[in-house]
Amino acid sequence: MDVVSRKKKIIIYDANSIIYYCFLHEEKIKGRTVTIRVMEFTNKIQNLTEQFIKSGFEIVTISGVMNEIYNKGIAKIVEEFCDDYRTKDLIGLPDRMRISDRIKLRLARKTEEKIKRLQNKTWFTVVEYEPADKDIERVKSFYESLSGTPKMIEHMKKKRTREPYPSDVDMSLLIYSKESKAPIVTNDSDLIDFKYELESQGLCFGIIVDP
Amino acid sequence: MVDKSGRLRLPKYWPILYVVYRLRRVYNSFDLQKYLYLAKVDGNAPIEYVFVDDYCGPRCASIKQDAISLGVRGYLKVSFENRWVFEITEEGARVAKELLNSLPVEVQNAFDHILEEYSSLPVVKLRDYVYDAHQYPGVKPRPRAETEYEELKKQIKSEINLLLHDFSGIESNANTLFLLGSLDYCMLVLKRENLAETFQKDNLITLIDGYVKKVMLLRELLGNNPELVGEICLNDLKEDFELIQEASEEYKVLPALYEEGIDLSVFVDVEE
Repeated sequence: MDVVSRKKKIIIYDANSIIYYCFLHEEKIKGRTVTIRVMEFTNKIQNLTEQFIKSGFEIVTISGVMNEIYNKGIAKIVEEFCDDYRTKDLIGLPDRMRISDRIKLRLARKTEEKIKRLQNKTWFTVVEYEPADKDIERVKSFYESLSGTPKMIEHMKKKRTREPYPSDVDMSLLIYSKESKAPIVTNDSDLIDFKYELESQGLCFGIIVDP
Repeated sequence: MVDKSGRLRLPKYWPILYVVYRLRRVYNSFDLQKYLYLAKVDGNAPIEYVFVDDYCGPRCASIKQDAISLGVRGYLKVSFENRWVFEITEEGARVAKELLNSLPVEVQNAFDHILEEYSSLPVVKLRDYVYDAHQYPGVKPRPRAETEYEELKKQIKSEINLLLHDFSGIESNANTLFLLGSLDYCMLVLKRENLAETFQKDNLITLIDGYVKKVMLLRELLGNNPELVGEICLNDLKEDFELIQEASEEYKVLPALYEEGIDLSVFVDVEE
């Protein structure tokens, strides 16, 4: 499949792609300047985004994704980042110390501000989008149809979830991708674990696995 | 609204609209409260709002609510960027001009004088002025013994610890991160605070105590469902936390948490 939508030249970002893109901060720590970023993801999504912009693509997401980012997404990524053993090294904290809640709040706030600034960029658009109930049901049925398969059992075990289907926001993104004929950039296992099936059954236009 | 003599009767919200019309933009609800308080007390303006003592100074909760309602009417643009922001709209300016016709010139002059004098003051200085110098002129806060402060701080720290324990057990979201981070910041301020100036010490500890009590009330209201905290709008607490940071910075205890360019190590507590 072509990785980009040729007609409309748009690319859809999910919550994590947007947060990782904005999770890039410079902090002074004991006199030295340190770059704070999520090791595996920030650089890659930055490069990918730069390529998209240079090629004239518009990056789009839906309003539900933005709500998810502000309500839970940033907090989740900040917690994951601060739980990573490499972060203490980066910040220069001894092993016995945990990263304090006040520092987590500072990082969350800086990320939130960057995301707000991103919303002012000409190449980034948030669309108000609410899919039809029947479309949500169709996507849900697809995931439910995989219940009991080794792939789904493994996926649910990995995610520690009881439901086979993803969140309403993720399902909305799939439907929006199909309607707008644009692929989704994501590293969400709910989507990438079933990339082939979702694409081949026409439940979305395409999935670009990031990284 | 017209009274029996045919003159336009001033609606209760008139001073809110007046302040925002004159200043074009007001950056937090504390400032709005204090301008109205000063206009009522110093300027003898016919303001109906009744002020009560609060840890942030004289306060009337319905001022902010009415300002938000004026936003719904289209007279003000109301937004929240870590603090409430009130801006005048075209419609609001039109209504404000109409109201001006019913407002005695001496009231306008007194009000304008207050805005001129105090609108450039940083929020902490304005709060300190209204709360201490103005409300209780010449009366210094009763000096507490150092041990009394230490006891109070010990109590607040123990309350913070309880709250930190309760909120850290909940799945992380923007609100839990805010509550934990802000309480943790307050804890560090209390640890670092060693102010010699009683007035500043009293102010800072009062602000933190008031904030912690508000969070405790929130926790109490959540009862057995603390996870519902993710669904609640915490804008007022966020605005209060801004004031604590500004006071802490103003008194040189700890920089504001969100300040750019500071060394992150100032927020590291080696005892943790």
